[in-house]
Amino acid sequence: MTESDQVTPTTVSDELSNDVMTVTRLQVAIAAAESPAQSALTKLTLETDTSTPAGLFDLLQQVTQLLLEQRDTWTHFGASSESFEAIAAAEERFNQLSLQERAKFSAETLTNVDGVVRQKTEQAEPKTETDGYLVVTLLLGTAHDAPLFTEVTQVDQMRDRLQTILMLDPAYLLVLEVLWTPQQTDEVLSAAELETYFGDLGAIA
Amino acid sequence: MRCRQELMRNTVIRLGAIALSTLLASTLSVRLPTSPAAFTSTRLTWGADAFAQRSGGRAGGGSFRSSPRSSSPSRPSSGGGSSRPSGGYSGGYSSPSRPYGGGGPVIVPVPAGPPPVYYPPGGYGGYGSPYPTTTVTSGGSWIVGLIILFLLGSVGLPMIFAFIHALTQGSRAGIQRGDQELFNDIFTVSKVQVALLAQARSIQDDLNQMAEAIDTSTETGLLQLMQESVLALLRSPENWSHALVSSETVNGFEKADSLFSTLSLQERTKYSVETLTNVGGRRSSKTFTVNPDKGPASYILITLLVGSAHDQPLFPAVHSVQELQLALQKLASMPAEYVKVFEIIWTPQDPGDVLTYDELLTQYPDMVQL
Repeated sequence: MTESDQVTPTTVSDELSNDVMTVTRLQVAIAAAESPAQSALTKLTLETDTSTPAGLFDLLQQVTQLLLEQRDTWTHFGASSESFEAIAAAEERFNQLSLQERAKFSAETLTNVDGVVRQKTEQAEPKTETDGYLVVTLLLGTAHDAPLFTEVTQVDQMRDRLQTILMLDPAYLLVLEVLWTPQQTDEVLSAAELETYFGDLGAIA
Repeated sequence: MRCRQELMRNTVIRLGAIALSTLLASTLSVRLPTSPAAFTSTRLTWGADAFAQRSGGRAGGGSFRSSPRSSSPSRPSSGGGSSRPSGGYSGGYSSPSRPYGGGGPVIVPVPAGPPPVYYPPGGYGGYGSPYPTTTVTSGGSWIVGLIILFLLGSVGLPMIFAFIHALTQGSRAGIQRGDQELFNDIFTVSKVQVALLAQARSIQDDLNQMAEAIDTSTETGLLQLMQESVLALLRSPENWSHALVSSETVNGFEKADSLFSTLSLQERTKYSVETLTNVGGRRSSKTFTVNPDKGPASYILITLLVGSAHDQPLFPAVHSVQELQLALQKLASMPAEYVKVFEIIWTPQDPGDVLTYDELLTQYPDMVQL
């Protein structure tokens, strides 16, 4: 692959034991009309044990695989990866990114965090439009000493990044959050909403 | 002011001290879903909102501090493992126990890095250290020995020193950057106060539910409460009306403690009845008699007070919605270990009670209109 060799760890034990951490965000918008991704995410969330590292890693792999399979329906994408010298700084950045994304939802109708599953239903307003978007966000905190990648401008690069994530060493994964909207099947994210809340994503020409 | 009698209702959730000694997988981990009823009703009142609701899903877990390394026996306390001492300070007067009276720096972590045993393989192995001993003695040639010693000395030793040097440098830098704030005796007390238009009533239900459900006696619950309440605020920026934030850094646990208590008392004296409290895991509620003569409900006032380990104030004063957004984000993003005390106070607490525009002006004159 073209750029999957960008990760050049010094020594494995060193990276895992030092305080340098990397926070990575991968975000993909999918044309919701023809995508089975929404129900797949719900199913994965309900089935995964998020209280164990193995469960988290499994979730990461499944979601990444799901996104790669849906490549033909991607409409927008964005990714960033930053390294931090101190745990506290990495943790703060992770929290910040998570909060930013979560604030875009009006309610969290399904959550599975640290093994605790919660569900609730929101009364959906009848939708006039049928085509809309589904935005999936992956947030990772890993033990890498250098960013996982530099910048992502082409859709091919985005695919390569996701493949890099797929091949991640399980020991490196410290924190994971998968966020997606809309979660309820009777909702769609309109083009205007996508523009308002996810305006920083690059469109696929 | 007649307000004293009427301006009551409210909730105070106070959380006492948090002993910071746990592994705290907390920050990213726990979140209660926000209350069901809440956002639905928000939406109904938002008539003008062009956008419909956006349900979201969320799955995840883990922690930066529960990484494999903390279980590694060779690095006792370097990265925030379970042996890290607490520097906690307790909040306000209601907290019965104060784990570490003086708070502040207790133990400086040992330098990070492998123990000394670790060096030889790197230092000697590459330079054939087993060799010299055998060849030199059996061959009896002390010249060869000297040469090898010389080689070792000129090449090997500097490398070893460089290696050790790099290790100590690295770990020292790590401690300074990452941990010094946590272990010194400097604290920051921050206050974020937001007045919301009364149509954001749903946030009241939200907070009430959180106060009922969350266990405020644990560090995890505390963080969860802070993040969830900030998130509830961040989700309704269209209802923000007035705001006031402050962040002050003080030297010494005692000062931080008294500053926090002062701020808390200031807010709590602005209403006469605490109708719902959840402090240090103890809940209580009182009934409130609604005064039917009061005007229409106009505002809901929410105050967040946070005592943290930061050495610098967290944010400057805010004048706009964007600045308040940043301040709120800064607050809720702070690493788990930094949070020492958290308190959320809101009024009115009782759904039938109201806070009028006049009351807002008289009781909270310093707030800035957004």
